[in-house]
Amino acid sequence: MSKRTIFFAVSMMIVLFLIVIQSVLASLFFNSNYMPDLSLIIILYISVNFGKNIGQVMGFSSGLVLDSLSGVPFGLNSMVKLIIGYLLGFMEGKVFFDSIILPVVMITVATIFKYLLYYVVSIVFSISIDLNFFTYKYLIELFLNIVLSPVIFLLFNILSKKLYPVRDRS
Amino acid sequence: MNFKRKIDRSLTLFISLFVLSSVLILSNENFRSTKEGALTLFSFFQRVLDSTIKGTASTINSVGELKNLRTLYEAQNRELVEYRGIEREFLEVKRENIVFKELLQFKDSLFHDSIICEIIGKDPSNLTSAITISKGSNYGIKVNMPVVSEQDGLVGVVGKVISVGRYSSLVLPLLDQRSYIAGRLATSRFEGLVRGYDSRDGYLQLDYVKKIALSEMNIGDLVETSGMNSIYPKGYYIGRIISIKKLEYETSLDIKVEPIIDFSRLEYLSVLNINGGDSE
Repeated sequence: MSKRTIFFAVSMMIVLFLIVIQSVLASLFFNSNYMPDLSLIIILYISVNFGKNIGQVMGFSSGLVLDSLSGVPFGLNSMVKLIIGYLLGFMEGKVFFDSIILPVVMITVATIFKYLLYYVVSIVFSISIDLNFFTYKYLIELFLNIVLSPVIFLLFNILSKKLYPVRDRS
Repeated sequence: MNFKRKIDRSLTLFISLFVLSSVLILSNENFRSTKEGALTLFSFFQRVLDSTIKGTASTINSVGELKNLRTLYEAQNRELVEYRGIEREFLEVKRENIVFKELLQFKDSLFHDSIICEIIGKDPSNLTSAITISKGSNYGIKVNMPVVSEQDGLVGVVGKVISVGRYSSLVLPLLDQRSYIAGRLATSRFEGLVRGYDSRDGYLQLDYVKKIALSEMNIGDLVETSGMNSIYPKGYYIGRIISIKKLEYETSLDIKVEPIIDFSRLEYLSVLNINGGDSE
């Protein structure tokens, strides 16, 4: 098994674990409306650093997990995260994350884009979802994503250096 | 060419996954079992994580609770100590109350005017068995006044006053070898002289009881004061006979008497005011 495969398998496991953790923590400690989107942060990191293919697979897979644990129609999150992963993959080799600024800017854009996509997909597929952009919950999620993205990026930098060093990438 | 192929491949993958997502959304009812299966799978991890986190939170809370319990325990312990002190004081007051009631009854039962005193000390020199009482000449106590007390319903002789200070007096117990009391057997009325034999052994000697009294006396018989030419008025108990010996070479019996008063339990006593004391 190649280092690349191992790295992505581990990343996928982490995403799944974080989604499950997020769902558990939401029920225990926080109002579930005010949760960060950890899978989005990881999709952003993976897509920008490793390209469209991996990004979209990661997005689709994590979306499926979210779909299975949430009350939205099966496939909604998969589609939204798939599109995000695919589009962010176009930035591979064009954007190089620093420690804070770019992660913050990128996650801000990605979060806004995600909700726009939800809106569009819900209209196209006539899905009834509770999307009200005039509430604080999206701002709080954005804030949490901004706060957590540098940390998660740092952790994934360490992980990728260990499991999939740059010299092994062709 | 290679780049184009790569784009095509990723685009193909994207289109495939997009179509799949669309199918999932559009045929939501058909994929219900798939969603339920996925939910079952991931909810297992949810349960495990939930129980782990709750367990950890519970442990952390337990530590906090233990800390609170400890604080509460210490506070209640302090309170308990305080209450124990109060209880001790209460029991002491209760006991004193009982003693005072008994003393009042005792005082009423005495034939003579008396002064109730409390023992406040014992001879520090350890040469005599004298005891110090709480009242002196300020209460009218004089030398040679008889001292009695009540125990187990019987009024018994304690001794006599041998020294009087302003606020305290010294009493010589009848156990002391210098102490002599004219006594007699309460039942047979034979007379004798009671003296302190050995204050450490705690018994008295009854001398000068005639041998003919032997048939009329028994172990356990009470000995009381006779009042004959003595500072002690008659009718107060001295002790009980514990042994009787008839010695061939003696004209009288050798009788050992145990005092009615248990000196180790003695707390309060009464000084009898008879003829103003001082005379023997």
